[in-house]
Amino acid sequence: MLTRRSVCLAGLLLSATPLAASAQSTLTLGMVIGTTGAFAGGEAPLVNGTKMAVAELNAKGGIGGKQINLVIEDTGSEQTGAVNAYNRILSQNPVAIMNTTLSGFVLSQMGTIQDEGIATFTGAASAQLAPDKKGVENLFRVRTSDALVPAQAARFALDTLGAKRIAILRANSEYGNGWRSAIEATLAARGVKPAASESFEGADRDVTPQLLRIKAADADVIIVAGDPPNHVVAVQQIKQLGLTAKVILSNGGVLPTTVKLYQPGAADGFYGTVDSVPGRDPAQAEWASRYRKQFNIEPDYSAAEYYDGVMMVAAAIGKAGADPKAIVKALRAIAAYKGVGNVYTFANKGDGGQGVALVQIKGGVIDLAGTVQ
Amino acid sequence: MLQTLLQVALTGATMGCIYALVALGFTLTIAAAGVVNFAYSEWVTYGAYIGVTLVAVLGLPLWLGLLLTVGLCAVMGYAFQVVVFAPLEGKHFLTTVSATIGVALAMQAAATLIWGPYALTLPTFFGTGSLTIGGVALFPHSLLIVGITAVLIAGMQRALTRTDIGLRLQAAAQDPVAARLMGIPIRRMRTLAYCLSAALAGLAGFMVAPLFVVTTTMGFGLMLKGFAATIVGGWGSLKGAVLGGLAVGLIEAFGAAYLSSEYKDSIAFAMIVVVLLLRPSGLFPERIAEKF
Amino acid sequence: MRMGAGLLLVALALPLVIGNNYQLGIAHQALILILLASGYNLLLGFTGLVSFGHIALFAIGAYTSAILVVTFGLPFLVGLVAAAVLTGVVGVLIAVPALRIKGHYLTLLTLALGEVIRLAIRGMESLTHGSAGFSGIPRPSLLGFAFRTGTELYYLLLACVVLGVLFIARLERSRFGRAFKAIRDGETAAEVCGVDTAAMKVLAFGLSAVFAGVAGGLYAHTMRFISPEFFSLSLTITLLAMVLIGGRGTVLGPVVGAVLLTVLPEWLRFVKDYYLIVFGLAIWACTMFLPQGLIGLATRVFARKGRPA
Repeated sequence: MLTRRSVCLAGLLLSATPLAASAQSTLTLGMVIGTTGAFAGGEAPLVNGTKMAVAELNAKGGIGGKQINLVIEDTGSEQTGAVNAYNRILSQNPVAIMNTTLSGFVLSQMGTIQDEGIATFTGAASAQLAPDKKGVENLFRVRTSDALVPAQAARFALDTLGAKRIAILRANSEYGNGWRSAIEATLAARGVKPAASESFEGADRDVTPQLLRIKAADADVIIVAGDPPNHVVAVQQIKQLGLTAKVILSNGGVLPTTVKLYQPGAADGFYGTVDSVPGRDPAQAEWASRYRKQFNIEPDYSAAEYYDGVMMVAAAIGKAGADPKAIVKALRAIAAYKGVGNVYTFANKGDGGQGVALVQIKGGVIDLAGTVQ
Repeated sequence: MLQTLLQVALTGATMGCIYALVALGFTLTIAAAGVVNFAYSEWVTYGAYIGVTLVAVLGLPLWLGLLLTVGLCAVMGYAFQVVVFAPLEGKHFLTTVSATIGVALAMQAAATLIWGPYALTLPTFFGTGSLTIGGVALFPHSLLIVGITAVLIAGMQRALTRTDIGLRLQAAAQDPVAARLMGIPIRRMRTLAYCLSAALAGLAGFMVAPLFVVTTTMGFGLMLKGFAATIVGGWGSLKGAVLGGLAVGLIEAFGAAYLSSEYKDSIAFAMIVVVLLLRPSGLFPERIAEKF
Repeated sequence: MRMGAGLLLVALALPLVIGNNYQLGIAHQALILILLASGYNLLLGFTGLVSFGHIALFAIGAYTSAILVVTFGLPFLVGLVAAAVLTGVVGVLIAVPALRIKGHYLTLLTLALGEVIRLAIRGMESLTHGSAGFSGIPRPSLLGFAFRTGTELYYLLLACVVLGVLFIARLERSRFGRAFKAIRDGETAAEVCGVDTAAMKVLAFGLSAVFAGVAGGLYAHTMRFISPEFFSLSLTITLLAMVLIGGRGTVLGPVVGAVLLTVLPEWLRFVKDYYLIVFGLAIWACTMFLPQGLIGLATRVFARKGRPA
């Protein structure tokens, strides 16, 4: 009674079985990232950083004599895709996994991440993923947490820019709302309240009403938090409406790919937060020039952080061997590791990178304006 | 106070014109061929991307880029008629919907492969400065959008009601059987409609590119607003599409300015619900017989 | 029907063949979507009402179950039933204003209402945690037995799906099913024949909402994390495609459509970055050459061979 089609369907599912993991002479490094879909642009630098590290290690003979085989699985920028991609990469028996930076996806994968115990690196910066909240032992964060960055922005505004009336313009998302809470908390500790707090939807391409209210509130510093397209719109309309306040953009606004999108001169003088500026750091000049040559774009900290992640895995394997549990233990012992993009501490429930830097846009390029640890 | 009102009105009008353009293009195929083209979002996106390629990569001046983009999009519309729509003629409208969904998916993925995953942009016409008159900031590019939309709509209105070809297009839309009996080439009229629709999409994409950011998903949100405008204005009515688009843009802007920017979307959708409950056939329905 | 029985046999045997979490995970998603698509088909395929707000009902089901189980500590079954009931009620509430509105206007109305609901879910931060998402949802558990492994969860979902599909099959053959189809094929004619179109439409909305609610609850406990962003409009488009490609207005159509559209993207991974293009073109080809959907193809194939479907 098995009908033709049901057999075909079964065949379809069976043929999705991936081939068994290959020979023991290579180590598999997994990567679960959005190569297609809405977030592909934001995650492309992470792929660059990872590829660069793998190529570098392989050129030096691999890790312990074994070449690294990088396997990339696409999340398709979807929740179900991210969960499936993580499950799929597990069947390749990776020694470690470089995971997507989207906090929502990481949270969706969390059950599997915890159950399987493979060292998983992520740039997801949501405060929810901190080790003492929903983070797990084998999840290693490389980006500075969203609990720290906005606080530094607020402090920069108060102390360095001498702001008296700070306005917040944020996306109505987990990211934007997280910035608002952190900024309000920092201000409250100084006995100050924001002069204005406005929000917009991530898909909005017009913030005129919000900016008009900020203008009416006489703000002297505006902090903008959102995704790259939100920053482009905000920058354009801040200039258009003649607001003279100083502006601090969140990380998405000062990525090299975003800065290219501003109309010429529109963002000059605007500040932004980053984890670090490997492109302008003299200590990283050699790395930065190699990156530029290989990928034809300006390097940014997110690429550097994934590069660092791979290097940390390599060091851990060198110390403790290729057993996944041993790798996790070795990684958890890391303290104050100075990578290209950040300084990482995982020991004692450390939350990874802690660096925050303030930059300023001048002539279409970002330049360091202050570093805080 | 008045300043704010005018500023918000200007923004609302600009966005409204964009939605009107999108709605107009979207409605053209509905009116002319009874086809709901879910690939329209990709037409807009491709218009923007083609514009970027011509201007940023090939270095053509903006005006030339705009004209070429519109032209190339019209060609794309023709290609769609031949490859996608002609074979689907006479089929149930849901069949066309799912076919265009599939095509849209493929086009969106292809865009990522052709132009890469990073966001792109176009420079604005007339640079980045803005004029300030009486405390109200006027952004030249926005004024251009409003201007082009007004000219275009007036032109289309004239063309549809005064020219020979326009009247034939209307006839083909309102009653294909009778039109055929009068000797009007239906297939050719529909092709014309698709080319026009695609050209409008390309225009919208190009004009919007400097204001929005050119990504593979930019068209989808616009098409949705266009869809809403189309229905609020009255299904199949070109005048309704335009007025619906303006209405949506203005409601959004005023809702955000005077009610709440946090709940702006909810307000806009709630208004749509109210309009539909009060006027179930839209605000300016056209009397095209619908078969249910 | 033979087709259905055959599919059921394959489905029952599947976990014996596929073992790893990856393939079981896809199977879970497919089963949940079968349930969702079947309910949607009731509205679209049987009654001819194109709703673009269905995903909001899916979200209500997911959040109801999540909140009741996690925040209030109620058992899974209570959460699921509550999800079904609450979503059904919302479905009926949507139906009432929708009665006056026809065709494409109904589509937009449901789209607008759906978005309002989704935004409301996001706004109720104290209950739903808003845009931060709702995490820590446990796997389902009945009478103390927790469906922790992939295989166990698979059979639970399969049981729900079988119940759901059997219900729809019975409904199709009943006078309700006939009433729905009468409305789809010609509302005025149906009225003339004595069908209470208003009541039937409300029933269609309510039942499809119940399916969405159950599917949503199961989704929450399978994925263990939900967020308002995931219940987006593009999921609506996918749902529409599932029903249309599988074969609208048939009982097994949504089953086939849901399975295909869940499995196919994963199966196409071997074409790497081109998989979405192939997928989109496959959908297009399917609608071009198989206007009755895949079920229609099967029916024709078997009819030609002289075997009843």
